[in-house]
Amino acid sequence: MAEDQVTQQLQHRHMEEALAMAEEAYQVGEVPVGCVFVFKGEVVGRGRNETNISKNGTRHAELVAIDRMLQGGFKLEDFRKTQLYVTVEPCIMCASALRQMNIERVIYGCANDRFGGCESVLRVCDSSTLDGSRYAAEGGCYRDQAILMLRKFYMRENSGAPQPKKKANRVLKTQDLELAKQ
Amino acid sequence: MAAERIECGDYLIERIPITEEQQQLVTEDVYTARIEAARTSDILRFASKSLPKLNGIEHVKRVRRESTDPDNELLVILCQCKMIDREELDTLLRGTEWEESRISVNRVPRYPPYTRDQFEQWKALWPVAYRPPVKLKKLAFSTDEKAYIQMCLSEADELRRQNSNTDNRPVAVVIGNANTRNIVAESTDKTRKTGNPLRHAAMCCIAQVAESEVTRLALKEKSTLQKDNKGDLDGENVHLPLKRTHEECDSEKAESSNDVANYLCEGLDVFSSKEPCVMCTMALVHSRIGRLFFIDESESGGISHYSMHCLKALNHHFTAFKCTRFSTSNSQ
Repeated sequence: MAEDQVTQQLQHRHMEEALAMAEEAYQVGEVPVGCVFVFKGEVVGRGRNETNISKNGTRHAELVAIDRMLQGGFKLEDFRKTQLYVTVEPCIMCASALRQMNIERVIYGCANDRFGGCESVLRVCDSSTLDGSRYAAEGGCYRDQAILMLRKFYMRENSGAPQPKKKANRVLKTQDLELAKQ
Repeated sequence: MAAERIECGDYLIERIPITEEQQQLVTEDVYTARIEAARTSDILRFASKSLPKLNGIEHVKRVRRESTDPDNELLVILCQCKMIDREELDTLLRGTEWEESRISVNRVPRYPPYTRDQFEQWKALWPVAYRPPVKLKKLAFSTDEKAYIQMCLSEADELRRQNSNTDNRPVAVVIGNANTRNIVAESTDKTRKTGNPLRHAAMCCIAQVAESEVTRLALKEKSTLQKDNKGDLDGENVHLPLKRTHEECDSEKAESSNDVANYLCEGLDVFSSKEPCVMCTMALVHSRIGRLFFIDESESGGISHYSMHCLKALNHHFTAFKCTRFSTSNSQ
């Protein structure tokens, strides 16, 4: 029990760092998704969405962080003992990328109903016939905080979209979320 | 169903059917009553008032006439078997004028037919309505388009061949613009070269398109700024340079010739020597491409494994083509 609590506290600390990355994305007008990679208990990589600034729809938090880690000399084989903390369920693209990196485990905040590759749309993470290796993925850690950030973001208009939608009538819904510290 | 094929230079191009086209006949059970044709509207009125409504089988016709029936009787669908069991139905019918009508269980097609072949086949079981989908156009390419497709495919094939001598995986991707019939990006697999297992050819091409868009926007902004500054100038600075700077030339060139889609890779064509993996296929969905042409199939690819070009749950779909080389002599 005590050991479980320690693990949970550690998980929360890592997810808080991922949320901080998401907040950074929000501040600069990117879809607020953030992540950290953890190796031997230490954060070894960070990323957040960079799709708008780069005009590249594939610059998701996970791929940005992986690129930086490799450039910084993080060893490929160490991904096998690395966990990912990401505020939103990895999309199908990232879920496949994480297999190809041989990630050990993925912990995420909220589900990704539109693109999710771990439970929501496809189960790429544990399919037995795809490239790379299977990994366990588990959602729910700081779920409501991750959702709130996305909702705040989608209140705004996306000026990068071909036909930005007018969103003046939107109301930020928070009553269904439990936002007290977990 | 016969696949649609079209010859295009050295390649045979085959459109990959979407999920609905491949749907086999799935059936669902319904309760029917056999009645005289004249009583049809009465029994339908009764069903709509007293029985569970039909749900999800709107394509199924309510009535079937038995052509061999001498008594001019009809089969009328009462309700779906999944809604109530036979005992409940009998209870609902008890004491009504329909108590004595011959009730039976019939099978009807569960899904609406998408292709004409499905329609012809499925209506034999029970009459169904058919609306041919607008999206289901016949496969046809103009002569110019064929030349463009052939050019892009051979380029991808050739790049792959060149790259097969190196350490990298022999895959190459070309991105083309169907409107200008130009190649806008091309790349080989760079996983070994960069030591990054995610640097697949398709990912590299998407990055190239993005980079050129970032450059184009930056130049555009710069030239607008310069124009604005010139407007503000007075007296001594009106002498404009006779020669324009490189940036200005480049930006003008970019404005005139760069017809690349401005939102990600919207509408662009992707030509790949090998079927993209799940990561790359989803990257193409995120990038909103128009069409994917690939040469070699891959079991673990996003199309073969998940039909990701037509997944209903996703927000973007594209047409996918498998392209087979006619001559195998010059492939490796």
